[in-house]
Amino acid sequence: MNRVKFLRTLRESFIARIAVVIVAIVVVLSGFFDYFLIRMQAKSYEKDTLSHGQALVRLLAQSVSVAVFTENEGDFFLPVDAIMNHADVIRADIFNKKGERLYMRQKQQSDPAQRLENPAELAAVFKQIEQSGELYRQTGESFIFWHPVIFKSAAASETELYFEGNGQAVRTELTGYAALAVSKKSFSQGVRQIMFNTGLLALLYLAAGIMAILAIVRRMSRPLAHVLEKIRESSADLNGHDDLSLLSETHAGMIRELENSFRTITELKDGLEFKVRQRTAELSVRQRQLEEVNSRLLDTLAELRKTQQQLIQKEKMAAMGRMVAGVAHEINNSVNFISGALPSVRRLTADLGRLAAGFDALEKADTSEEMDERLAVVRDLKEEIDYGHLFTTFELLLANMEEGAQRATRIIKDMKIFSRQDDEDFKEVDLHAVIDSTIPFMDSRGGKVEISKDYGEIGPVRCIPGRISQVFQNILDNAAQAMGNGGTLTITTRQRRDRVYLRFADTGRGIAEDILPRIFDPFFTTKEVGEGSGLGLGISYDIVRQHGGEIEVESTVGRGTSFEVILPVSPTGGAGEEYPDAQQTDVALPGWIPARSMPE
Amino acid sequence: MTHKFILQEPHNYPKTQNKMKKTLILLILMLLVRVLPALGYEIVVVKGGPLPDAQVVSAFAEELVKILPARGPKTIEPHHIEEINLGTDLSGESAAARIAALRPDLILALGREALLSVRDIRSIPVIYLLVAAPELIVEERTNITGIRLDIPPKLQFDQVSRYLPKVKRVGVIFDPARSSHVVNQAALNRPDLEFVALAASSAREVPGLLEKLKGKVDLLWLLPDLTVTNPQTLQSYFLFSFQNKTPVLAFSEKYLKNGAALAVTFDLEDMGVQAARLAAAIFTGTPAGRLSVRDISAVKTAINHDITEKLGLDLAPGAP
Repeated sequence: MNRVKFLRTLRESFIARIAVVIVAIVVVLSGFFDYFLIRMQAKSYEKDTLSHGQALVRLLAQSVSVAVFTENEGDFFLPVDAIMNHADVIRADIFNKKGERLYMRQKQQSDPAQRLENPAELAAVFKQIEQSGELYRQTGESFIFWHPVIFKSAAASETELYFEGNGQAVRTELTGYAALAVSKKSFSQGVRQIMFNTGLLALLYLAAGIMAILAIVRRMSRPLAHVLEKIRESSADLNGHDDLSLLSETHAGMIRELENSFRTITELKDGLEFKVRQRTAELSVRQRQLEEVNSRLLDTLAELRKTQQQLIQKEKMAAMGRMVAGVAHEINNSVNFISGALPSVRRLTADLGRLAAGFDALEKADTSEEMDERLAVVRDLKEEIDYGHLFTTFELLLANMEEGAQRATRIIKDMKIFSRQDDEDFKEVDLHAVIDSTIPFMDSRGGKVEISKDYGEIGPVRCIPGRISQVFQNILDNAAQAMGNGGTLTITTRQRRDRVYLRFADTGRGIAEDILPRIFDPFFTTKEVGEGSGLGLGISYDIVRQHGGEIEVESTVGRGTSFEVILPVSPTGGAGEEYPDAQQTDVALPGWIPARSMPE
Repeated sequence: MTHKFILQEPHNYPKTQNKMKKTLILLILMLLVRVLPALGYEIVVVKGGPLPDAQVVSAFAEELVKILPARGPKTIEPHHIEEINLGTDLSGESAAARIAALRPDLILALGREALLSVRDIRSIPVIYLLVAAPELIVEERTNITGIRLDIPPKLQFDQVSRYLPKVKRVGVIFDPARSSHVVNQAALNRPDLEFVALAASSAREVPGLLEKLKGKVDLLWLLPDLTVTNPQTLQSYFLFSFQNKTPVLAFSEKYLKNGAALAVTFDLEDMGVQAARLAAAIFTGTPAGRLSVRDISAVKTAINHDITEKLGLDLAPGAP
């Protein structure tokens, strides 16, 4: 089963085929190199073994040269024994120049014996040694190394007995032959060890190499596998194809699609150029039309601004009218204090005149009876005029008159303050003072409005006092009008960081939810025709925005309305500079703004 | 290769000044005194083979100047010694032709090859040095004399007795045809020593004869005898020395490194001095043929202390 799956993977997967091919090449190369490595190492080892054996036999030949010269058997023992101590040396033979065996030692009976004791072979070996110097033979279990025993010395002469020769005249004389049989046991073990070590290394290398190759192929082919996976996902009909045919099909399909796309692009390009020209012409016409419309709009805007200014002026006049009405009402009230007291003062003054005349007549009485009579008259007059309460009443009347006079004086004073707020420059003012100076001019034609002040600690605010006063007046007027039968207007002020929060909460009839979003719209009003222009809150919103602030409104029908004016303590520039939208909002006032809670 | 030696007066004046001064003196002498015979000499040194000749030539030149200071009109310039190296500069025949052309007053032949190359120049006196068995080359020629290379046995054993006083028995293997006179001379000159002399007719006999010397000698004497002393037999001598703790007395320092305990050999400077004296005699009118071949008069002793230590020898104080 696995084999079938492997073969199917191999048939379909290009990457698998590449990996298998590379692994196969590595295996073959590894085997090839391993084989040659073993051969090289075995050759090298054999060469070393032969070299070692030749060195041993050379050493033997040199060490026995004197013994061969003298042919004294006793002299062979030590040099041969030294060589035979070597573990692999199994036999040593020494021959003289005639081929006669002078000495032989062996550790065990072994196959070299046959060859070292074969006269015909020995004769051939000696002949070959005379020609080539040294040689070696192999048997099944041993190497046999041969070396001539040569007496090498500087040419002997009488002079050379005394002095060192120059080494040029060297005399060599062949005196015999040395043979050394070396067992192949160590050599064979060494070769087997080389094969084992090299084979093990090759296997390790192969294992590591195959793993590395598979990892590298997998890593390097990851983009290709990803592409193939995407192709298979997008082309279900190509499933079952092998990778190469899949790529080939995809490539052909892409070429076809590209050709179609280029064809379409060419067609679109041709049509697009025409359409561009057509659209360009249309755009030119539209541009001209827009320019004309723009020109007309600019004219209309100018007209609107003019009309707006007129309306604002009208609203000002209306506000002034309301203010004058309020002022008149206040002054009338004040004057009423005085004028209402005047008849009583006049009557009391007459009573005091009659009493003074009685006392004058009493003073002029000549007799006691006349004095008693006139005194009785005075007493009757005092009783008549309620002399005991006369001065108290008089004091009360004077107090009323004084109250009226004071009220008139305060109204005049507030009017003076109010009149000074027409300055159009930004300046730092105390908003409490501005509110207080505006309250007297609140439209108070309805019921009595009780003012509740909850002033917090607020610093001076940089603003245009006249404009801000106009805002407050609009809000106060609306509150007063909303509380037609009287009510309470609570004014709360707070400051949080660099902003001032001013809340005006009335207990009036409230604003219906459906019209609440429209109250800042220009010309929107719920008042009777002729009573309001519908611009008050819109202008107020515009002024507050001009100061970088906001107005928020919150209302519940039947419970009242709360306006909250939020102003920055210090706008960074003058009007029309830091709030460039202010001029434009003359005609584009925003709608309802959700109320936010007053900071504590 | 040719080298020119200039033997100068003790004072080293600048060359030009020297010449001017000598010229002036010569002119004055020519006017005032009788001119002496010319006594400046041309000497050719012929070297053959790798020999320690520099020391010999140097000693010769120094001694010659002492004996015969250069004087006379011809010697305004000092003695000339021209060196000819055989083998590198010239072959033997070419050397003879060249020397004949130079017409020197004397030929100093160093080594066997040099003597062979000049032996046929009969008109110029020849002094040889460093030549073993020169009589085989000189034969009956009368213009040749020289210094023997052989070290007199007496000198050798005087040194032995000086540094190894315990040595009383001396073993020696010799070829009667070559060295009997040396052995006889030794026995004659040093009767206090017992010489165990064994004759050999070939080198092959040496190891066997050495076996016979075991335990019978205190010292083994090596002779300059090619029959018994050659590369084939040397190992046997030194093996005998080590096995029997018997020192080997050699005639050349070259054997010390092979295993000889001590070597009593010729003094090269003394040989140069001897040669200078012969030359002076020749220059003063004595024919070379009438001057007998001389023996060396001084020897030099060298000891291989490693060997003496290994052999357990007690050296007398003052041993080199």
